[in-house]
Amino acid sequence: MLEKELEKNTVNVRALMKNSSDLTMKYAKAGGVNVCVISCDGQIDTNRLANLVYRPLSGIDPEICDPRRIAAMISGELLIAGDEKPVESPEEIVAAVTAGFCVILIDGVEKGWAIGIQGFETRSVTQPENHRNIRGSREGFVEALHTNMSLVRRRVKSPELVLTTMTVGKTSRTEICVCRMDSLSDRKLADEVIRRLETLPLSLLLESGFVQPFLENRHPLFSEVGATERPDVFVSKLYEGRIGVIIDGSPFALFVPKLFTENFIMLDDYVEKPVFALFIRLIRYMAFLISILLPGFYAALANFHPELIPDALLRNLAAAESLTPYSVLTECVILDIFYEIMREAGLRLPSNVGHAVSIVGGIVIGDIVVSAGLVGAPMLLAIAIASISGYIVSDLGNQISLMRFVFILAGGLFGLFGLTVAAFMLCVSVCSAESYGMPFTSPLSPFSARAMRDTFARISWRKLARTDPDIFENGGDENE
Amino acid sequence: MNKKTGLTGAAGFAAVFALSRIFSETALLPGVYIEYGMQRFTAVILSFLLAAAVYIPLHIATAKNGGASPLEAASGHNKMLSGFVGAVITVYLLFCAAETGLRAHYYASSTAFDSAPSAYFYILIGAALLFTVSRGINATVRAGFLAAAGFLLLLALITAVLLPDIKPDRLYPSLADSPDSLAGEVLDEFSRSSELLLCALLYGSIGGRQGRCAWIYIPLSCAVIVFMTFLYNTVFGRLLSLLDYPFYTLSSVSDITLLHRINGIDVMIWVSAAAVRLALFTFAFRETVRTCFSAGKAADICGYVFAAAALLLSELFTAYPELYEPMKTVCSSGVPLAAVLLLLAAVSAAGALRRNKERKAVRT
Repeated sequence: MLEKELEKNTVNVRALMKNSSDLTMKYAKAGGVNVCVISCDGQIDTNRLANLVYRPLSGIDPEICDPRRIAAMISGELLIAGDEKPVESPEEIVAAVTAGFCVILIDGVEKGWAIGIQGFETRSVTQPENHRNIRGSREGFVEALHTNMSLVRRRVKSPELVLTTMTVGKTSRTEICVCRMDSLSDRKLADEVIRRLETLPLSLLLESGFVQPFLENRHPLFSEVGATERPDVFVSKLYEGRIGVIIDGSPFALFVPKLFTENFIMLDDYVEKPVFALFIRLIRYMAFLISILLPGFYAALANFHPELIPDALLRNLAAAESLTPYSVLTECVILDIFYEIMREAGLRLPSNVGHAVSIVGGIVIGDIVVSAGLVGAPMLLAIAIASISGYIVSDLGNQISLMRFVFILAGGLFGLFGLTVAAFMLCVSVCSAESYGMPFTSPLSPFSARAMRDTFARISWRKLARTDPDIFENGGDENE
Repeated sequence: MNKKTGLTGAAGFAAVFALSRIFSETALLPGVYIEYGMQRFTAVILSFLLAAAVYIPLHIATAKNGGASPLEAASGHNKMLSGFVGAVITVYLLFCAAETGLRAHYYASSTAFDSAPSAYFYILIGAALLFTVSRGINATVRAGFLAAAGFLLLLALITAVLLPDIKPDRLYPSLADSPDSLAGEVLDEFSRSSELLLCALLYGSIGGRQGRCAWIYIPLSCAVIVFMTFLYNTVFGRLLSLLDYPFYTLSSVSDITLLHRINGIDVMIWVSAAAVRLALFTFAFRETVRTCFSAGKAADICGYVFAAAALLLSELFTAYPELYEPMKTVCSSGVPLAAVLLLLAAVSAAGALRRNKERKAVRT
C-alpha cells in the first residue's frame, strides 16, 4: 500500500523498477503541496503530459495547502484526461507506468492517480501483407491493441459487440482483448476462451502465435484457431458467432472455432457474383488436392500403374524419364526438398536478395537440371504445378508441404494403394479434429444441407440476408 | 453432429452403412458372379424387403424398452444370457471382419493393386485400421461419409462417361428368369447385409433419433444397388456373367481423357470403404464387450486385439484357400438373419425375465 510520505512512495517505486533508466520522476508544486509525476520514458506523449497534467497542476491556487483538497481537485474538478484511474500500491504504479500512464502522487495522500497519456510510436494502419483482396477495405491490423480495437468497433457501431480486455503474461503483462457479438455467440464458448487465456502459463507473450496453441485442441496437423490480419474478415467471423482474440503487439487477430472449409473462403467471394464465387471456390479445392496429391499420384502412376495414363502421354513421359539417371521417386523427393529449401530461403531473405534467389532457383537451376538430364521435365512440371497450386490456399501452406511429402513417399513406395491408405488416414485424422465441440470438417461431414448455401457455392446476398448467420446452427443439424 | 448429444446423426451413420453394404456388393468374393438378367433386380429388392421385415420386430422391441439399445436390453437382466449373446455376436463380428479383409484383399490384388504384395496389403490396411479405431467412431463415420460422397461422385462420373453405351433395350419385362435359383440369390444378397446388425449394435453411438438409421440405410442401399444393377445390365448385357468385378470393369472402360481409365480411383474408394467397414465391426465388438461382459476400459484394448485378429484371420483365409470354400458357403447362407434374430430373441427373453422379476416383486 502507499504511504503518506511522498518520498517513501517514490523510493519504493524506484526500488520496484530496479532503478531503471527509463523511469522518470518529476517533482513539482500543486498549490502549496509537493507532488511527483512518475512516467516511463518513451511510453508517453510529452505534449499531452504538458497540456493535460502539468498545466492544470500549475494552475492550482498556491494558497491551497491541504493535500486532501488537492487530491479532490485532481480526481474531480480539474481533470485532465479521459483515461484516469486511482492507484493504491507501488505495484499498481509500476503496472500503470509501464503501460504508458503517468502517475501523480501527492505528499500526504495514500493514493495516486494514473492518467492515460500513451504516446509510444506505432506503425500506421496499412494494407495487410497476407490475405490481399481486389475489392474491399485496405486496412489491416497493426501492433497496437487499442488501434485494432477501434478498427473493429468502427465496423460494428452496436452494443452487441462486447470487448473484454485482460492482462496476461507475468513478465510481459500483455493486454489481450476478447471480442464477441453478444446475441450471436455462445456464452459458454466465450467463457471457455477467457478461462484458457486466464490460465495461460506463459510469462512472455510476443505474438499471437504464442497464444494460439493454448486455444487449440492439440491436433498434430491442423489448427482449429483462425488468424487474420484483416479487420473486415475478423468482424465477419464475429458476426458468425465466433469468439475473437486480439493480442497487443501482434497484427494477427485470432478467432475460434475455425472449420476446414473456411480455408477456401475469401472475402472477395462476397463481392463478386455468386457464379464466380462458386467457380473460384471449386478452383481452390481443386488446387488444394492438386497441391498435395499430384507429385505422389504421378510417382504412383509412373512406378506402378502406367496403364492408367493415356497412351500418347505415356510415351512422352517414358521418353523424358528414360534420359534421367534416378528413379521417379528419388527425382520427386529431391525436387520437392529443393523447392522447400528455395521457399524457405525466399521467405527469410530481404526482398531484393529474395528476387535473386528466385531467379537462380527457378530459372537457372530449374532449367539446368532438366537440360543436364538430372531430372525429367514432366516431374519438374508436376512439382511446379503442385507448388503454385499450394499458394492458392495460403493458410494451409505448411500443412500442404508436409502432406505433399508424405504422399510422395506413399505413392512412390506403395503405388496407388499406399496413396489410398495415406489419404484415408489423413482424412480420418482431419475428421477426428474438433474445435470447441464443432467437428472441424463440418459442414461437409457431418453434412449440413443448410450450410451448403455458403460452402462450395455462395448463394446471392438477397437469399443470404434472409436469415442471420449462425455457425452453431450451420454445423449443428448435420445428418439429422 | 447432434447438438444435444455431440454424436453423429442417424443419416450420417446410414450413409456409411450403405457404403459398407455397397462395398460387399462390389468387392465380391472370388467365385461369386452377378448373373445377367431382370431377376437380379427382383433379388435385390426382395432381399432388402426381407432385411426390413427382419428388422421391424427388433425396432418394435427396442421402442418398447424405452429407447435402450438392443444390446443393453438383451444383457441387462441376466448374466448368462448376456454372456451367451456376447459370445455369439463376437464370433459373428469376427467372421464378418475377416470376410471384409478377405474381400478387400482379393479385390485389390485382382484389380488395380495387383503389384502390391499380400503382406504389404495387410500391414498397411492394419495400420490404417488401428489408426482409425484410435480416432474414435465419430471420426470414422465422418471419414466414411466423405468416402461415400466420393463413391457417389465416381458413380455419377462413370454414368456420365458411359451414357452413350447404356442400351435400355437390353432390359426386358420379367420378374424371375429362373424361379429355382431366385431364393438362393435372395438369400445370398441378404447375407451381405451385415450392416443391419451394426444398426442395432452401434445404437448407442448414434445421435438424435437412432431408430431412423436402419430405415434410411435400407432404401438408400437398395436404390444404389438397383441403379448399379441397371448400369451392369444395360452396359454389359450378356457379357455381365463373365465378369469378376462388374463395377471395376465399368470404371475400367471409363476414359475421361485426363486418365485413360478411372479404375484406380475406384479401388481407392473401396479400400477406404474396407477400412471403414473393418473399423465399424471393431467398434461394434467393443460395444458388445463393454455391454455384455461389463468390460470398462479393457474394451478399448480388446478392440485392438479384435482388429488384429480379424486381419490375421483374413491372411489365414488368403494363405489356405481350402478354408475359403466353407467360408463362402457360410457367407451366403443368411447368417445376418440368424444374428439379428438372435438379438431379437435375447431382447424378448430379457423382457420376459424383467416382467417375471417385476411380478415377483409385486407379490412379495
